Amino acid sequence: MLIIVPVFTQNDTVRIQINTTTDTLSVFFISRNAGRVLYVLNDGLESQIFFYIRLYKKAEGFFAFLGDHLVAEYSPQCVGYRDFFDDDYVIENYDGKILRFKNPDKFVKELFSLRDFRLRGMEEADHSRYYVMVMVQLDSVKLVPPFTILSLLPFEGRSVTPWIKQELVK
Amino acid sequence: MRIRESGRSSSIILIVLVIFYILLIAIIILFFQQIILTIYKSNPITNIMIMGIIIILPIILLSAIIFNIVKLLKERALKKSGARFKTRLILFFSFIAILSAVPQTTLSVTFINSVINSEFVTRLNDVVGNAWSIAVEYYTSKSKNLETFGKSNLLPYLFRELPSRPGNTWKTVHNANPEIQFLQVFSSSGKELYFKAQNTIAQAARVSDFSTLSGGMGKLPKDERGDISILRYLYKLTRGSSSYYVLFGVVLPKSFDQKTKQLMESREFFAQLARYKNLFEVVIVIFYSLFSFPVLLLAILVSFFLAEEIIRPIFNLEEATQRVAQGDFSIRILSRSSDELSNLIQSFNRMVSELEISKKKLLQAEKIAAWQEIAKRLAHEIKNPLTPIKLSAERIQKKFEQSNNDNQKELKKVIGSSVTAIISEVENLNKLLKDFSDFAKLPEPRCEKTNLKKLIKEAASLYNNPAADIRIDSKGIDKDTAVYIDAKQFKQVFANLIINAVQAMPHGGTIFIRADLVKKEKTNYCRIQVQDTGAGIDEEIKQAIFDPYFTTKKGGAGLGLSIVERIVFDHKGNIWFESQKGRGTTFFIDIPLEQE
Repeated sequence: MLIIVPVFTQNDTVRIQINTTTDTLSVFFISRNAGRVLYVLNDGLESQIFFYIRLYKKAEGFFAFLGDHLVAEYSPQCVGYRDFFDDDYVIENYDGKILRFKNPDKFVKELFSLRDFRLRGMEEADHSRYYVMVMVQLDSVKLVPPFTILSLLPFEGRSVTPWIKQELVK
Repeated sequence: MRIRESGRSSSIILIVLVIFYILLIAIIILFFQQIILTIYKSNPITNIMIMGIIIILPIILLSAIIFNIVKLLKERALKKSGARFKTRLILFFSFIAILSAVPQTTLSVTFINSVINSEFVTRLNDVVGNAWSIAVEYYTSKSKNLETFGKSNLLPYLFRELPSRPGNTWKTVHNANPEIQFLQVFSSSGKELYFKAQNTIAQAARVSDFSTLSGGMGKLPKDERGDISILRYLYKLTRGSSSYYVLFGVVLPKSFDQKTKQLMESREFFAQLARYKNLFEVVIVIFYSLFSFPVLLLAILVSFFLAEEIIRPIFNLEEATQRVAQGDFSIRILSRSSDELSNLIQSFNRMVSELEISKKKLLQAEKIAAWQEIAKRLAHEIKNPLTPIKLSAERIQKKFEQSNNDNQKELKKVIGSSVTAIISEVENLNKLLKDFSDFAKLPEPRCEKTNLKKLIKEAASLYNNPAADIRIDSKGIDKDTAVYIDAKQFKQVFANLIINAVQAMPHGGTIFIRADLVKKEKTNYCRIQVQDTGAGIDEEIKQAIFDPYFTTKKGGAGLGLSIVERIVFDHKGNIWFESQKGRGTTFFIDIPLEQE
């Protein structure tokens, strides 16, 4: 079963796709900051994107008031940069794979996507008791030390979506 | 012996604060860099938590300081001993802490900003930028050269001797393009037929397994082998029905990739510096302040307890001195330290010990002297009536020996007058002994709320004698005035004062009694005045009228005013008098209104 839910934030769109057959999750982030990312990369800087995923199991019974149980938490992270030697746009994926693109639009689309991320930890076959919360954080400029200190304050290079809830089975 | 403990709790807090202070500095040193390096990896919630801790800590410390400031102000308002000195010490310590922290912070921040904006950094940025351009240019030229050469129409001609004479082909290719550093020939099945490299470094470009090559014909993706990077071009050569694969290319200088990566990182650093310089300077100031501010606050907080620790022995000493001044010689101060202050405390303790011994000796001497005085007075007072008793007895005896029937009447007269004299003197003796006994047995006052006007009226009723032309005026006492006194004892006080006043006015007069509320320092008193219009008290005896056994009256024990004074003192009150010769005397008694 495939569920695709678009969630609209103030400036950006997040699309969550869950495949309950393979227990995989895909997140597609469509941001107005795509142009900024390319600009930053052409300036010799790197961009990075975090996909924060929390898998919850709904609480039932007497102790339900205590809240749902956090089953697993993931934060896959992808880094994009420009290879000036070969004139490529490069993505260092969360799983270590290196992807190269000549076309900037394809590069941005891929950088803003998390594909077929495996959700582990679901013990019960009944997936209706599970749901995920997803948040995307785009750092159009991946800060290097000591500038990482700037991330303590809200700065122009970072955009964060709110937590988006998605049931595994609708 | 009472021993005053120094402030143990304050010392413990001080030690805990100092340990916390050192820990805080250690944490800042250890984790400051860690936070900078890893903060971007943490999610916004973690960042908020870190910011929370950074903000909450100063708030807690600030609250503790405000609490101590309020406490200090309260102590000052109550004029507690040592409060002013403590304030000065705290201000001094805080001033020192700020004096050292502010220039340190300013210098550090200025230094960081100076480094960021220095000519050195600008030049370094230029150098890195230029090096980067050279590296990209070098790589691009090598890459383009290889690609141009690979696409060249000359290649079929240059490879004309393949596969029979590959050695000649290598020489031909190398002569045509000296940048080509290796040549490798494979059969259509992928079997290596020939390999030749320009030098030992280029030997690394040899492909052992043709099937591992990817990317098809033409320029292949850059191959990284350890610290060697290789650019290859794959060309398919057809000879009749057979085909061959010719691989040639260039080897980049050793560690080219690592060095360019370092250059890229440096370039990234300088690009971010250029982009966020102003914001970074502001954040550095904020971040530095956030870390140094708690340390400063902690230093100020330490100063409170340090001042307390310093002032406590002085405060104890001052308090003990006051107690000694009030006559309490049993006080001792315990000192744990071994500094000059401790020596002073030990000297004080020794002095108080010696004073206590001296006081005991003095009291003993006074007691002996008092007993001697009592014995002397008693002997004198008893001796006086004994003479008339003895004379009367001797007279009776003499008349009795000379008696006969003729002088029975005279004998009877002598015996009568003598016995009367003896009885009178014995009664005087009895009264004298009773007065002594009363004075000795005066009990502790049992205070209760007493209506003053009523009590005075009761005491005065015995002496308000119109026949003797003595009048007592108590209009000056409010009917509701009430004081906490032992009514029985104070009745005696008023009786004694009224008797004295009556005796001071042998030709009659008016005794005025009044009561007023007065306030001395912070205590409310009831001031009672007993005024006569008698002869007044002579100047030379004014000092002695409250002394026991002092009297100007014949047959008096001299204990009346002594008893009055003692009762007033037992009630925590005070008594004094004003007298003018020929105009009269006024006795003043102050009794505290608050019940202790």
